[in-house]
Amino acid sequence: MAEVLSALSKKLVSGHYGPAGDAGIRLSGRRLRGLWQLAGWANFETAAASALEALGLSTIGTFQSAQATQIACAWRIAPDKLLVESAHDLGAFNSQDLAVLNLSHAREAIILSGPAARDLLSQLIAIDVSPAAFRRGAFLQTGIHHVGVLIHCVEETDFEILVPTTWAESGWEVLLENALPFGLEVHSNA
Amino acid sequence: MRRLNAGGRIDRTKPLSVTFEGRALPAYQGDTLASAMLAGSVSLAGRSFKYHRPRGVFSAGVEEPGALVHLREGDRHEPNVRATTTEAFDGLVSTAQNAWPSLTADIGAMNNILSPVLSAGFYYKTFIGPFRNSTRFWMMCEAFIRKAAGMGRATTLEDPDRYEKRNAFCDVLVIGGGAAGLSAALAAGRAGAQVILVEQDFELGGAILSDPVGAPGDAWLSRVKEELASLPNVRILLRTTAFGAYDGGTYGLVERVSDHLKTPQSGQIRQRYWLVHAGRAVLATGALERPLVFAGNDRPGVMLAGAVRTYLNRFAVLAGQNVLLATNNDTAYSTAAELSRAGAFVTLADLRADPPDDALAIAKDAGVTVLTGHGVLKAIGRKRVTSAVITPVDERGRAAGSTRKVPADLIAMSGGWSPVVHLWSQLYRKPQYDAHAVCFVPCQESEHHLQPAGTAFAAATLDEVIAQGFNRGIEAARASGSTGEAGDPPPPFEAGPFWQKNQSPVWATRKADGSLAGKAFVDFQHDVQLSDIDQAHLEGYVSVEHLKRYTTTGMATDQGKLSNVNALARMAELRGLSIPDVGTTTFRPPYTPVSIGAIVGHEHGRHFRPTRLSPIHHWHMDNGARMTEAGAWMRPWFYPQADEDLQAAYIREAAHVRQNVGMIDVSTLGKIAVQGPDAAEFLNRVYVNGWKTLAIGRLRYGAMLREDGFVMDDGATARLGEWDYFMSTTTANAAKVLAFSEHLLQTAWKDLKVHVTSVTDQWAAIALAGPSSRALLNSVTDADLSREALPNNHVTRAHIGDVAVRVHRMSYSGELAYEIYIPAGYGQHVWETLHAAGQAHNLKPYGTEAMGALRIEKGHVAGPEIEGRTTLKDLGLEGLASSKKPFVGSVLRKRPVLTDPDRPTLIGLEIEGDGGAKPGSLLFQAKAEAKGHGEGWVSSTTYSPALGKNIALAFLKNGKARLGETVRVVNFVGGETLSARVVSHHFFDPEGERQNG
Repeated sequence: MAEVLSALSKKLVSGHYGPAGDAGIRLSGRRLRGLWQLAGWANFETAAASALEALGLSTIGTFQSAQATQIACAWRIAPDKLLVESAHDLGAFNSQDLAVLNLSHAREAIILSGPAARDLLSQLIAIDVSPAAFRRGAFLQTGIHHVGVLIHCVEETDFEILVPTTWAESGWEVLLENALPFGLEVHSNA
Repeated sequence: MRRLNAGGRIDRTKPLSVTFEGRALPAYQGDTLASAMLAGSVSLAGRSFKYHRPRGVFSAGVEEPGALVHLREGDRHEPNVRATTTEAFDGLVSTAQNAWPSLTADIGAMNNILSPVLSAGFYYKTFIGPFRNSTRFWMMCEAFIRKAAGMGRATTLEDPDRYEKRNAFCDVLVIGGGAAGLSAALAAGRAGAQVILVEQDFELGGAILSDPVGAPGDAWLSRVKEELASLPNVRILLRTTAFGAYDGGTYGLVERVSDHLKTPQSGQIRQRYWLVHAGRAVLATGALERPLVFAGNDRPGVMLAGAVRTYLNRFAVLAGQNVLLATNNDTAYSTAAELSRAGAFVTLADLRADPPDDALAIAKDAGVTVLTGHGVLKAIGRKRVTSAVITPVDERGRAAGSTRKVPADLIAMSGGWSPVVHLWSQLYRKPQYDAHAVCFVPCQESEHHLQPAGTAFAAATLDEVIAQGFNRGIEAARASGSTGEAGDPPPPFEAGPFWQKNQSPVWATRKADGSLAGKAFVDFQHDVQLSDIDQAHLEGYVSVEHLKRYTTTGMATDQGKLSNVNALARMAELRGLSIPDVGTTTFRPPYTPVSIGAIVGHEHGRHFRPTRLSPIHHWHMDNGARMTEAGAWMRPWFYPQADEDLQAAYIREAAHVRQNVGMIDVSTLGKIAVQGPDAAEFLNRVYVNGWKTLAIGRLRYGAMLREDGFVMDDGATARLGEWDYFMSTTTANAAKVLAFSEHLLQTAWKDLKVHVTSVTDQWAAIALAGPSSRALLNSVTDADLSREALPNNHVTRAHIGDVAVRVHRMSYSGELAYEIYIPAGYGQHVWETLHAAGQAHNLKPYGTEAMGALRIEKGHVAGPEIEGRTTLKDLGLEGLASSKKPFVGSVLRKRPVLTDPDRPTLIGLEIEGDGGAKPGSLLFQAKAEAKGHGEGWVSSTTYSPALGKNIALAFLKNGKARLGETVRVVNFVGGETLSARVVSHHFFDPEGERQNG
């Protein structure tokens, strides 16, 4: 059985980098369970209803907050687009009113955590990432080093950054470069 | 000059090793390089910009024009560093700049003798236009002038330090950590606002730090600092300069994180560039003292009075023993008294005939000799002031009695104060003139989100300073929605006199006839003399903007800190106007210089821009591929065997594909999912050809135009389902095509139910090309790949091993070929599977250079042909365009200039001889003179292994009618002329038998 090769396979090398002592930043990666884009038009919510129900979701959500269920995590990335992480094959919901697209291999999840994680984010994006402004469950669509990414605040100091696969190494290196002064631990697995 | 035995805010238990010009200076923790220089009796610190005049420490802050030095050595060497703001650290090494062979014996000082001819505009008047056709003469002179210009010498070594950028958001940004700023931060912090307090010094306190140790301000400062430290919502940034104010409440800051250390600590950065986004901001930047204008006012030993006081009280350095203080306001009286108490012999010459009694009492009680109605006419001394000529003056500052020479090793002057209005002016407009305070001040307008406070707003007492700061802090906090109780402002303490009361507008001391007693400077950084202002006026440069540029006064790092008001005052005098009528120039960022490193941050070297890697990238690297940049991508260029060079490798690789089978990573192709019930209609509009009839499982080549009728991109699009299409674009134009499509769908074609999404990252892609490609693919897939089941331009789904893939039968090389699309995470696995299975079929990987050779042989156009200036007809693709439907560009492509039959069209060239042509070469008729733009140009060239000769794609006027003609191929850049035969651009297998086989 062929295994999915992470775009970060060469980068996810466990170790401590930067100044000795407690690491302010921890970086690792996570394989997505599957990633799907649901897109519609004027009647998007109606068209997506069946797919949402199958995922345990009741609405298409807002542009700020992720929706999480046992089997899925969904981000409303545009008025008529939803990005869904789920192991379920959603291809069957494709119709003339709902465009379903498999993007499972198109994004890598970089996991950023640690007490200095917000400081690191503030070095990368021009958005307020203070705890009051970027709360647990919220997500941002922005750019890191000119590459479009989605950043999900999973916990107070834990973030997941969905980065396009082909940009993943470059983005990782930029994160690493910025993280070094804080002291950095890289974990090969989340 | 000497260090006092007691006092100061230095830590005498921590001596530091600091040197200037190889000489050890007595330095302690808390010193600056300038204070250590003065403590070490260094009077000559540098040479001036133009005349190489000797200069010493002049100020105690960012306005320093004289003590500009080289700091550090080797790759950390830095020029033009102000000694006055350089925190002393152990191991500090500094040297003089702009002097050769030495600081004391500087050849460049000859410029001082030549100064009568080196006045404003000298270079342009002298070197431009003395001869006919003198451009060449000017350009020759310019090289020497440029070499002579500048101050310090930068290193060319790579900067070893790290810099970073950070964004911050706050309710209230307080700029300046003096009494006003501290009060503002305290008020806003108490009210509950998120506050950032920025101070450029390494300590909070501002002017309080220049008071004697133990003065009432110390206790005040200590209490306020303690309370601020207890407020978690107040962030204090020391060693940080707010250098720019921009729209939307955005401020640029630079934090000197490690500049006070010999080298940054392990892993730490040197400087941090902040972009602060603030709801409101308080400008508490204080004021800078202005010089007086008199002959020799730039000599080492002439200093600003406030700076002398700072060195005395903060650094325990007595800058002179025999001090002559010259002033036109009250602030110098405290300085005079404190110098006298420290043991100096002090004479105070006040341009005013009747200074206030309380000021006089301060000086006289301390034993200072006060000469009212007196001014300094001239400072005497070469590398150090030794004496001065003083004179009684009238109300205009002109000599009005007999002059006399007095001994002085220090002349301290105070010509008034200028509020630091730079950030306010950057953001809003020019400041207004306050005739009472004799300075430019910001305007206070309620809608401004940056509000001035304290001496930056010309507050006249300490009570006002604290009250203004506190009130601005509360107002800013309330504007951000903070409702907490701010309490009372910290009670004021007793402070010395301020400048705003009783100041004289006289700014210069001149002889009775109005002339100067020698060279007198208004801009010390650029060696702008008062006489330069006169000259500018004489020559008609009377507008302040012209004056500034003609004389360079107030430009560059000075930014008007020291020079503005005196220059404007002179121009006002000459024009018979008031200073506000003359006006002032606009202030621009940065307030103080910002290192390029801080601006760049991490975005240099390999992080200058992001790099894009194919999912198969590491296989290429592990297997010896030589990589090349293709836009943001890294792509395999060629796979050398043994010691093959590029030429040998690509020819071998291309020939191998024609004879056997090769594979290439084409994951970089742009891939766009086009979805929705109107997808076919969308394709019909963006492509020139028709798409409504494309069946599921088929693919079609298409070309698209820009609105102006030129070709934008081409590629193949496959129909995968009822509402699903898979569009491929060229590697270079993927983002452009996606953005173009999105733009149309969101503006002009909102009626279409279509979504376009980049799937470039989702799919790895491998092109398998060559006569054995089908046999190889058959050996690893379960799909029927026979000619009947999968003809050219068809798509099928298949498995390679257990990986589900899509196989597109299409050819870019002209060979029997397939493009295999694989989910990216399996890309390398499938590549390795094919590579292993391919050994039985003599499979070799090939790179972009061989790919280029193959497509040129086949006559396919690519980036060099679709370069934004070519039409469908130029490219030989006019047959693609449908006449039955409109499409983007369908109207404008019919403009006369685009349908001109004489336009160059695509042809092939067979180059005669062994050498190939260079892209960009121009084409001329065989016997015509090679002059002008020719009749066409070469776009792509290669050696063709299939034909055994050098070939090229080119555009030639009326090209199709000229097949068989011989043309000259002229490379003007390389000075080379070749002959070539014009042929069809379909060099190889024009019937397509191989790719359709």
